[in-house]
This record gives sequence, C-alpha cells and structure tokens, in this order.
Amino acid sequence: MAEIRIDQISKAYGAHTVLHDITFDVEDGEFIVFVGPSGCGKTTLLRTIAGLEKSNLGRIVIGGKDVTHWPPARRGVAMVFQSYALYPHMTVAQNITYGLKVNKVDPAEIEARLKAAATMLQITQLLDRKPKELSGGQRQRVAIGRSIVRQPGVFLFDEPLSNLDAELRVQMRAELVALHRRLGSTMVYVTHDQIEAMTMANRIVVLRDGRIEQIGAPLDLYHNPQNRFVAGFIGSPKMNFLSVTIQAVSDAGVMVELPGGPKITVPVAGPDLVPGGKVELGIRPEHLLLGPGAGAADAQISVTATLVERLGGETLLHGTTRHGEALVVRKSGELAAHHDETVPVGVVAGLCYLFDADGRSLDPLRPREFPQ
Amino acid sequence: MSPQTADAIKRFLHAAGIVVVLVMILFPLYWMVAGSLKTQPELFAIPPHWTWAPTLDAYREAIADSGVLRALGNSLIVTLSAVALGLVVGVPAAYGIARYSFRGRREIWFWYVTNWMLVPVVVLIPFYLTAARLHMINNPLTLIAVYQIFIIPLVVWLMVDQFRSVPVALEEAAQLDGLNRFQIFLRISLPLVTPGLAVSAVLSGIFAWNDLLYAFILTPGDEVRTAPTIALSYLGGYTIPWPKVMATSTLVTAPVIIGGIAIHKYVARGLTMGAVK
Ligand SMILES: Nc1ncnc2c1ncn2[C@@H]1O[C@H](COP(=O)(O)OP(=O)(O)OP(=O)(O)O)[C@@H](O)[C@H]1O
Ligand SMILES: [Mg+2]
Repeated sequence: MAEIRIDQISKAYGAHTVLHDITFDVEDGEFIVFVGPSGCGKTTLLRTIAGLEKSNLGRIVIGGKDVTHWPPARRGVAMVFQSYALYPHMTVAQNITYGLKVNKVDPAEIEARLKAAATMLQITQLLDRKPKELSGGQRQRVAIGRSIVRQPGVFLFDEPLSNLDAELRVQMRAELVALHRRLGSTMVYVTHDQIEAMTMANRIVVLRDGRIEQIGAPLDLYHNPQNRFVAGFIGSPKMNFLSVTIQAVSDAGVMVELPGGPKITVPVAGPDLVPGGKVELGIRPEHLLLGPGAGAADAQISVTATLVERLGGETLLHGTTRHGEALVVRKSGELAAHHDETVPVGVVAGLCYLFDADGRSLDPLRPREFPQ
Repeated sequence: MSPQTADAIKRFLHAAGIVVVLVMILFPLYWMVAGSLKTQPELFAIPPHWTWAPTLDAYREAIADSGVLRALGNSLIVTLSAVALGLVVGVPAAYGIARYSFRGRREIWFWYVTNWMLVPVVVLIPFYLTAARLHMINNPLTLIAVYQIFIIPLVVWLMVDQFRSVPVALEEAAQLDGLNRFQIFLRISLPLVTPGLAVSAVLSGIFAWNDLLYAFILTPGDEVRTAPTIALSYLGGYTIPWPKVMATSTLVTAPVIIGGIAIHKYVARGLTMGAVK
C-alpha cells in the first residue's frame, strides 16, 4: 500500500515562501496530477515528496510511514525527470538496472525485471545503446523503465512529456495511462498542460502561488470550479468572464445586467450581494449559443466577430461584446458567420457562474444541468 | 575595391598571420630537433645548411651520459607523483565547490584561482629557506609538495566548471537509485568529466615536467636533479656541446609535445565539456 499523506507542508527559499501549508491525501493506486501556472510550486512539492527537497514544516507519510526525514532512496518512490536524467556513460540496460545493482538485488532477478520492463516499453532492441543514440521518446521510455524495475509504491513524474513533439506526447500519454492501469501503483504527475491533467488524472490538484486552489476529479473541477482561478485555468478555450452589475438578489438567484442591457437571473445564492455591486459572470465557450438556438436562450448579447476559426468538427468564434470584452464561442459543426459581422449570442442562465469580488464561485441553487 | 577582393585580401592577411605565428612557434622547435641531429661544426655552418647527413651521435652521447637518463627518470617520478597528488586533492575539492553551497565557497574558489597567478620566483626564497630548515633540499618530495601550489589551483579551476556542467538531475536520479554521496561522485560525476581530468592531468604534468626554477634551486644534486636542469649543466665548460644540449632538450620536450597533442582537441573546445550530453 502506498498512499501518500501530505500534512501541512511549508517550504521557503530564504524569505520566499513557495509552498504554504499544503495538506492533502493521495489514495493508494491513484493517479494524481498537479497543475498550475509556472512557478506555482508543482516541482517543489513533487521533489519534497521524493525527498530531494526538505520542507521547513510539515510531514510526508508514504504507505503509513513518516518519511519526512528519510533519504530519497528509502522512500519507495521512483521519479521520472523532465530531462530524463539518464546516465550518459551507461547503456540503456545499465541505466535501467543500475539502481538494482547498487542495492544488491539478485542478478537473475535483475535480468528478469529488465526483460519485463523492456518488453512492456518496447525497448528491447535498444538495450545496448547509449542515451545519446536515442530519440526523445525512446529516452523517455528508458527513464520510465528505470523507475519501473525498482517496483516502487509511488511514481513521481515531473513534466515527463514536455520535451516531446505533439504527436508523441499524445501517444505517450495513452501509454502512461495504460501503464498506470497495469501496475496499479500510485502516480503523482506534474504538468502545466491541462489536457494532460484532464485526460490522465483520477484527481487534479490545482496549485497557485504555493497554495492549493482546488482538488477534485477532472470533470468536477471543470463543472464546479470553486473560484475564478480554477474556472479560468481548467478548460480550453478558457471560460469567458464578463464584468456585470447586480440588479437584484432573490430566491430565484442573482439578477445581473449583461452588456447591451439584457437582464438574466443566474440561479446561484448570493447572500452577501447587494444590488448595484459588481460581480463577474463566467460562461464556457461551448455553453454560449449561436445560430438558430440563440433565440431560445434566456438572453441574447451582440458579439462582433474578430476571428472565426473553422476547425471542421467545430468552429470557434472570437469576438467582443458591446463593452469591448473579449469572448469566445464554440460551436460544434460549421458556422456561416464571418469576420466583423455582429451576431446574436444566446446565454443560458443555468449554465452561468458568478464570482464575487474575492473570486469565489457562488453556490448554485440546484445542480447545473449541462447539455449532453 | 569589390567586396570579393576585400574578402580575398582579408583571407590572405589571415592566412599570412597564421603562417607568421606558426613560424615563430615552430622554428625554435625545428632548430632544436635539427641541431640535435647535427655535428658541432655543421651546427655552426653559416649560412645554415638545409640538408645535411643526420647523425644520432648527439643522442648517443646524451644517453651514454648516465645523468640524462637518471634525470629523465627523476622527472617522470616527480611529475607523476605531483599530478597524482594534485588530482587526489584537487578533484574532490572542485566537486565540493561545484556541488555544495557553504559559507566562504566563493572566497575559497577565488583563493585557489589567484594562487595560480602567483609569480613563482616570489615564493622561491621562502621555500628554499623552509626546505633548508627542514633538511629537505635535494629531496624530490619537496618538489612534489611545492608543485601543488600551482597544480591544485589549476585542477580546481578546471574541474569546478566541469562538475558544474554535469546536470544536477543526474545526481538526483542516482540519489533515488540509492547511491550515497561518495558513490555519486565516483560512479556518476567522475566518469562524465574524464576529458577535464585528462586536460588537468596533462596541463599539470607539463607544468611539473617543465619546471626549471624550483628544480634548479631545491633539488640541484646529481642524484635527484630533473631533466630540464640537466641541459643547463652542460653550459659550464669551455666548449658547449650544442648538439648534445639540443638532443637532451628534444628528449625533455618530446613528452610535453605528445601530451599537448593528446589533449589539443579538448583544449580547442575552450576546455568546456562536450562529453556530457
Ligand atoms: N533552488 C531554489 N532556490 C530559490 N528559489 C527556488 C528554487 N527552486 C524553485 N524556486 C522558486 O520556487 C517557486 C516554485 O518553483 P517550482 O519549480 O516548484 O515551480 P513549478 O510550479 O514547477 O514551475 P514550472 O511550471 O515552471 O516548472 C518559484 O518561484 C521558483 O522561483
Ligand atoms: Mg516545474
């Protein structure tokens, strides 16, 4: 069993605190992904789990053992580095088995594990090569192979795919998910690619400036972001944000005025809101309606197209509202609109989010019903 | 003047410059080797002959003179010991400076590097007096110790950069693989800086091998004198046996040139890596 408990971890470099009181648990066998903007502390947190970095405060418990003061090798974790960190002077086979040799594992056992890992990763024919004779994807596999043979309870990955080209990235993503299914080990994965996060994670930890913004299953974060940051960070293209004025607060929700005058009642609770105040309205590009459906929505706003991207299966319309705020609409299929044209865009009240002045998401009065 | 002509002139001047430098460097070498293959009268022929019947007489004379062989042997022992000691002390020191942050790290590094710039003659007298007090004149250990003042800073200076260019992630991977600090140094970092080690060893070796000043003062005895001083010893008599001087000098210089050729590839790369990828 290799569940991880991160308990009130704080870390500072000099006067600069990079992790603030981080607490959460990772279940045994879970695939957990850290995302967040550059510099938010993802790598630092991962390295703290690995034992390569010492926290100033807090505890790390892996598999029920407090490993806070243990050296990396004793923690039962394996790490795949962004730069792969293969030993340049050793062959692929030596790279993979070196740790086992150092730890005096029985040679027959080493051979068996090497074979199994090489077969699984399809690198059998590369075993005698040196790292510099490998492509990026092959190096990545070797790095993964090196971690697999140690049979760790926990795998740690720091942006392992960021040096690969787009196509290979998609392929390796699928392979890592398959690997996780096969090994059933706990995996902690750092990325700032939210597609990787969404597709691979059982749960995502969103970090920002060394603090946890939200933890949850990918779709849970997508549908129920707790704050404006998570709402804007998860999803591509990003959620649209419009600054709106509160008209009234009632049992039915919060009524706000959209750019151009239409009013709409968003079914969320706003106990602390007063009419005349400002809130931010968030709505995902795919929840805005274009074309014939727009008229049936709760309200329409006029949007002047600045760019229409036709991707075949879907169309992205980038435009501005009457107030000059940028907006993206995503529509499946094709769309006749063109550049500079002003089109009506339908807004469905039940799919809108409201964020108060502190960026907190206001609770919906009833679960949002997302279109299938 | 068209750009092509300007370009051609530039290239010509460049080539001419290289030729001048080469002649300045190679001519003395040529004169030494050629002289060692001549007889005394031939050597002093004016104008010098471009062709002559080469003779190895000067080499026979030099080698027959047991002092030369013994001096070469002494030089070899002193050089190898000095280099070995310098590497054993300097390489771990460089690793420490490259990888650990501790109070005074910059100062220590600066102290090492500036030591290297010391003008040798400045410390000659104090060394002589110290060695004399300790009854260490004519003891090869004295030379080996004194050379460390120049070798260790050179090794540290070269190797700190070498170790810095080994990615930290490699050492961290090794840490996760269960290696301890010393194993990481020995089995991961050290193999990756072998070009730097070779350059350090050869450059310090050349320094120790070439040294005339300290050897002349600190180990002047016939039993312990080193090769560079032996050629000097011929300069005492009425007639100076120039071909023999040249032959001895050639024997002394040959290892230096071979060493230089062996490492020129790395030195040409500005002593930076290339090995670590
Ligand atoms: N060794 C260090 N010394 C001082 N500050 C550091 C050190 N390592 C990281 N930091 C700082 O800690 C913060 C978090 O860094 P970290 O590498 O964890 O970010 P990250 O989320 O992994 O970013 P990225 O997505 O760019 O990799 C940054 O502000 C960084 O400047
Ligand atoms: Mg990082």
